[in-house]
Amino acid sequence: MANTFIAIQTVTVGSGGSAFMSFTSIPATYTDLMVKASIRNAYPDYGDQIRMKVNGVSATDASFSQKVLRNNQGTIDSYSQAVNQLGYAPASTATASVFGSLDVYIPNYAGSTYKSISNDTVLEANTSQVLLTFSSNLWSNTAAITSLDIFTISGNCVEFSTATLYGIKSS
Amino acid sequence: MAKTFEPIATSTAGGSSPTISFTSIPATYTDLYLVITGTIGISDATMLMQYNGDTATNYSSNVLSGNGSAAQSFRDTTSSTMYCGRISTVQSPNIIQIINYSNTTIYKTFVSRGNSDTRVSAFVGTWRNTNAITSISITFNGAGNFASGTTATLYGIKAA
Repeated sequence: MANTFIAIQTVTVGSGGSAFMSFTSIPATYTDLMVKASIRNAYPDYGDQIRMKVNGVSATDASFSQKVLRNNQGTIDSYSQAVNQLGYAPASTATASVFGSLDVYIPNYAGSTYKSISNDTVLEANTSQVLLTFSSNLWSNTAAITSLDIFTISGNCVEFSTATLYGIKSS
Repeated sequence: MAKTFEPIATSTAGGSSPTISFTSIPATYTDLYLVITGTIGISDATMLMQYNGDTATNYSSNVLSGNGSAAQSFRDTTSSTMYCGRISTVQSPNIIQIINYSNTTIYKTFVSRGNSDTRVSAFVGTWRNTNAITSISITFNGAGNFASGTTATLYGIKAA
C-alpha cells in the first residue's frame, strides 16, 4: 500500500532572519496539505501575529474569513475577522529560545470548491505569556492552491524558524 | 523508510445518506486518523460518532468551541454517541484522531478539531469499551444528508 504522508519541502530561516517562509509551485498531486512549523520573530514584544498568504493573495483580503477560539493568557475568547491569521509567535521579549508551534491542515487544496483551513497554534513562553489559538479559516476562492507564504506581521522570522509542507494522498 | 501513514478507505457521499461509515477496519495500525471535508444542507450541525454499531449509552465527549463572539464548553456523558466535529453549508474540515484503537485492554479515546464557517471547535471523547474498533459511523444532529462530494478518508498510523 502506498505511503501517502510525504514531505514536499522544508524552509529553515538562516542568520539575519527572513520576512517569509514560502512554499511555491505546490504540485496538485495530493489530496490534502499539512504545514508544521516552529516560529519566533524579532518584534520587540512578547508575541506577534502569524499570517499566511495563499497564491499571493494578501492575508487581509476580503476573500478570507475566520473564526478564532483563543486562550489569551488564561482568558478564553472567540472572535471573527476577515484575515487569514494563523495565531501568534513568540517575539524578542519572550523567554529566550522559545519558539511557537503551528499546525495547519488544508483539505482538498487542489479542488474546485472554496478552501477551508484548520489551524492550531501555541505561543507558550514559560511565563504568563500564553496564546493558544484554534482557528477555522475559509478562503472564498475556487483556485487550486499553488503557493503559501507564512509571515509575522511586525518583524522578521528569526534564525532557526522552520516550516515543513507535507502532502497527503487518500489513495 | 517504514510506511507509517497509509490510507485505509475513502467514502464519498452521494447526497442521499446522513451517515458515513467505515467497516472491516484492520487491527494492523496503532492509531486512526480520519479527515472529513464537505457540506450539508443546514447552516450548522455537530457531527456524531459511534463505534462497532454500539448504540448503548457507552460514550462521553467534551467540547470547546467559539462562534466568533463567545467561547463555550460543555460535556456530554452516558450518551449513545460522541460529539466529534462540525459541518455546515460551507466546506467544513474535520480531523479526528483515534488513539490506540485496536488495544483490547483500554477504553478508546479520540481527540478532534472540527470547523465550520459558523464555529471553531475542539473535541475529546471516550468509548467505555475495550473491544478493538472495527467500524466507525459518522452522522450529524440535524435534518438532511451529507451533500454530494463530501469525502471522508480513514488513514492508519503505525508506531513502528
